[in-house]
Amino acid sequence: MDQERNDAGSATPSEEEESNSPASLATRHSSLAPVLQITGLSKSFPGVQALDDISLTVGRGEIHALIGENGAGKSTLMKVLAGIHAKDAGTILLDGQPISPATPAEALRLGLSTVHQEISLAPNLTVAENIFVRREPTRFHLIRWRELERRTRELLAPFGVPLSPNAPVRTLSLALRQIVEIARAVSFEPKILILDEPTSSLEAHEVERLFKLLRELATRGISILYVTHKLKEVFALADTVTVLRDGKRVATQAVSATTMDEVVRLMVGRELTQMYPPKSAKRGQELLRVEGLQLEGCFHDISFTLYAGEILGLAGLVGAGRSEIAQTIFGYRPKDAGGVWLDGQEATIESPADAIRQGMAYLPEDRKASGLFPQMSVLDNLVAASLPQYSRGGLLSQRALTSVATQRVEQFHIRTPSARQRIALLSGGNQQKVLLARWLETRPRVLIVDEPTRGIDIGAKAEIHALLRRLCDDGIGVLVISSELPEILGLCDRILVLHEGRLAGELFANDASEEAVMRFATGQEALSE
Amino acid sequence: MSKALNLLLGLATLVLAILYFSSRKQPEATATSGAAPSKAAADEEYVLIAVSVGNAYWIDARDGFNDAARNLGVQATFTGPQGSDVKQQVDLIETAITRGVKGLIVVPAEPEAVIPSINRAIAAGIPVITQDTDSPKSRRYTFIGTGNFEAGRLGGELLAKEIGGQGEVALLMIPGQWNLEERRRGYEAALGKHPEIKIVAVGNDQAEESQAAAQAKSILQAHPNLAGFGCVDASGGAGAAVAVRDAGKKGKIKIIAMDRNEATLDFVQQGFIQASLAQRSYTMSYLGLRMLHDLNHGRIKMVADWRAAKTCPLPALVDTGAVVITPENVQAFRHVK
Amino acid sequence: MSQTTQRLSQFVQAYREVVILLVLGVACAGFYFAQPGDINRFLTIDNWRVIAVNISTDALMVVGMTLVIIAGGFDLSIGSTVALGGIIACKLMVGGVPILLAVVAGLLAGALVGAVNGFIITKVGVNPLITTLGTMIIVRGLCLVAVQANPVTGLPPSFAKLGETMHLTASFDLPYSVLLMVMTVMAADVLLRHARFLRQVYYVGGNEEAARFSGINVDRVRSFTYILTGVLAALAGIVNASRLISASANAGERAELRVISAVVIGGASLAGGTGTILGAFLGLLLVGVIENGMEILRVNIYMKNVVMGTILILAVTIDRIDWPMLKRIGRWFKK
Repeated sequence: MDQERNDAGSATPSEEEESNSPASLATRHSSLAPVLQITGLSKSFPGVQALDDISLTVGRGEIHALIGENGAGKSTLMKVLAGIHAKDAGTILLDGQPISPATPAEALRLGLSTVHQEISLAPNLTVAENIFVRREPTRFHLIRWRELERRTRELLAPFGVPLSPNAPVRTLSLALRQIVEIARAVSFEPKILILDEPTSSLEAHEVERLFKLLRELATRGISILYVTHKLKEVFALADTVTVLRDGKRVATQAVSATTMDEVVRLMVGRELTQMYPPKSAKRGQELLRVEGLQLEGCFHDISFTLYAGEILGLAGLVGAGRSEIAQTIFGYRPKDAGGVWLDGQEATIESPADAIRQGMAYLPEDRKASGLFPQMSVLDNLVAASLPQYSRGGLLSQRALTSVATQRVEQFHIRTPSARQRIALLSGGNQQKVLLARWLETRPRVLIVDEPTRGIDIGAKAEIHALLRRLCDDGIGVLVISSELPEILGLCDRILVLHEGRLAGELFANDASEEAVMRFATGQEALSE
Repeated sequence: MSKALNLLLGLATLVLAILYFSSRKQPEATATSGAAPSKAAADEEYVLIAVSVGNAYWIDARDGFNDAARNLGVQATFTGPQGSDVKQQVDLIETAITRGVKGLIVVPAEPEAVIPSINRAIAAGIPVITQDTDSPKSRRYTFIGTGNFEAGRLGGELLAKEIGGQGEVALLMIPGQWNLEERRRGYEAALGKHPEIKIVAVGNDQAEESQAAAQAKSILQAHPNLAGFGCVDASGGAGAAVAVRDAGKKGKIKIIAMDRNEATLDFVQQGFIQASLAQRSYTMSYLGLRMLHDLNHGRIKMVADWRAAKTCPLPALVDTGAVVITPENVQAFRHVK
Repeated sequence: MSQTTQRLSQFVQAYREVVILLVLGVACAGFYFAQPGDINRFLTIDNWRVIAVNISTDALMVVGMTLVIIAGGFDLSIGSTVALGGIIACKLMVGGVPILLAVVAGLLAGALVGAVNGFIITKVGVNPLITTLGTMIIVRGLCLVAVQANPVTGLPPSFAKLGETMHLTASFDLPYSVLLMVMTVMAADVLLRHARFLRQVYYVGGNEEAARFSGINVDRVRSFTYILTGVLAALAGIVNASRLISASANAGERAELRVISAVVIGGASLAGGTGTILGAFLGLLLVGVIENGMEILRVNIYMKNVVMGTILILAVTIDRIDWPMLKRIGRWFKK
């Protein structure tokens, strides 16, 4: 454990190592009164008990990770602390005083600062304006700009990032915007900083920088409550970890005293033997061939083949053009050059309807923005792409619809009270299963999935992986786009790596490793033509 | 319970309730003499259906209507659409018929469209009078008013006299409103008799003084030699006066206005407006209601029973003319609060 | 307390149409007992016929507008199209064209307005509010140009017959316009629930991008809703003309406000993705009943607008009430 910590990155070795060693941390945390003490916290929504008698303690300067599957209650707990939801029962003691924040503003005043998953900055305002919104230094109600800039610079200094207070937020990368959010949260001088899944869109080096920042804040005495579902981060960053499952607190452990496997077991409640199903060696005939595909400013000269029975992975850094390539093949985007062959015949695909008709399916990256119909039922979402199959003479057959819905719900283990339930009420994993089922209804020969398990708990992840492999065994070809390297490596038979819109490398399962992929993805190595 | 079942139950309840209630509450056969008159009077309702009811023009008409009703001890209801959509008027006439009003005064937005419903009212035994604008082809008993064409003609003659029989003039109105178009035709007829007079512009004042002023100003810009303004609705006069005042041309550009609202009267007093034509709107509705009431109570005994004889004793036309308000008599027209 | 308010707003959401029926019932009872005088004039077949006729033209437009709003759009131009349809059909009739052809021409004119709306909104990409605001002004202007403020009169008597009623029995008259309204609303409601093409409006309004990814031709669906609305508005204008035996450029004034209010009261959200035709129709019926009731109660004409506006706001917030909202309102009052 100590070894991992060292690698994760304190700058100066021995002294910091000493004061941050688990033993000394534990003593420091326990010697002072805990800054946050939650007892018996419960919260329910219609139909679901989100939090069930939760108790939790956080010490001063402690980095406390909160981990659990989707639907375990992490975000509800966070929202109660942030003043967004009101608790039904229980007590929350902050520095010994009972609190019950009724609004986010009150939570901030009490000393609980939250950095949410979705960035909520005004893109056209500057960094300084965003950080100090409604708290700008004023004279006679007019903003003192120089003072504002000075205060922002002062605040940002310890962060060690190249951020100018006057830069408009829209010019900043996602990672820097996140830093601004954190700076804003810190500017309230909170007792506790709560972060919700902060690394979902960050590159590895940005994650590193974030962790360094958080550790530094912790030494300043700010406690950190870190909500995540990524195990690696818990073990790289946190002092303590609390596992939630089904709204209950299952365990709280010092990170040094446990292992990843044990945490997984506590999260899932069972042994998770196989995250990734075994790969297949055989490969069928050519299903999809792409040659010379090009879209100006996005990707160039893309050529590859997808065979029946194989899972082909498309890896690369964010912005390398992976989703764009898939969307172009699917007919959602136009192409400037290149051709697509299906089953050996050249195919004209100018719209998603064309692609669907010729046997392709595409599950987009952001299910909220491009996949779900939030106000409609599970059933409606399921049949969205295959309506013609259930209608005769233009009229839909309710019986056919209900029967297919019940079948698929059972087949894919979609946890929902009924097929008529509004899809927005399902957990992320189950929503993704519905979307996958939707596409499978179109009986595709080629299935493209873009970030298939993003934001999904471990249990559902494994189910989806198994499902994809089963599809391959049935003769379908699957193209997987994913930013999670372990997923690409564990799931795919073959991996194509993109770098800035060009194919940088191709790896077979046996030769593949994280380092090999990253080398291609960052352009250090390229395919020799 | 499924949604469809709920709906069906709700609908069934509603329909049953309607059927049940519509069979109750019959009119009282005989009433004791003491209680009857006041109750009957309370139930005696007369309705005045106008157009563009938000316009200040109707203040007089309402006053006349309400005063007459108070004197007679009956109910007076003033209603009508916000704009000039004749369909909404027809809807209101139909509603009035089913609720059994005792008399109707209608200011038709268009003369033809109201014919079927006015006739239906007459057939149902409700006497109908048209006011301000007529629907001559309908079976209405009487038309009370100046006649829009006549009003416009008078205005045109006044304007011609003021500008000395020659020059450029502009008209302000709301295009598309039937009664105002009639007035414009009257203006054009009167002005047409003077070959030296040319109508160079027609502005849309949108029934609103500031709009009228803006329009008048642009017209002045485009026609710097303008001799006068002719206004066919209540807002035009004040608007034109503002434009003339801001251009510093008081008395040099003549204005003939319509109506007696406070703004217009002020400008008449100050000399910006040379004359304003006021229709006797108060008189129209006052007399109108009295006539309907007399008719209902059989007081005009031209024949013993006019309904049986099928001859209505009311005159077909009552010409209330127009009053010319000038700086000399303007004080008399101020509304006493 | 918060549980009950939550359950209440959920009930309203799920059973919107039933709730409107209940409110209708309460309103009817209220008006019935508040009537002046001794004689019941409100809950009579006659009065209900009047109410039905009065809303019959708006009901046609409500059908179209519901589809437009579910698909995430907005159409302010229907009032002007009402006038256009009436004017074109009537001018042709007066000019000697057979009634049927003239009616078809009027409907085509409405379809054209809708097609223009659809084109500008889907292909050019202007937002529906601005687009239909523009067409509303343009079409109204065209109407004024066409008739120069003189209503078209002199219509053939057989056409005028359609504005009347057919006598089913000695005491029961069914006006043609009411028959048309009932048939259109029922057919539309059934088709929206079951016809594959129409159901796409829910997908388009629910999540446009997801609909595209699912192979739905979003532009075609949207354009269809505008064209249908144009045709129905023109039809309303023609029915209007048969009732008034004239077509004027003022017809359909403010119709868009009434129709949109009805659709929203009936449960559709302006963001798109939800709503039913039955709900919208009941919303219109509620508005019609309340207007009729206010007339009977001799409510001051200027108060009527205040009442209608209040109802609109209440209808929109009732399924959003939750305890935090009530607490906030309560706290604000205490200050």
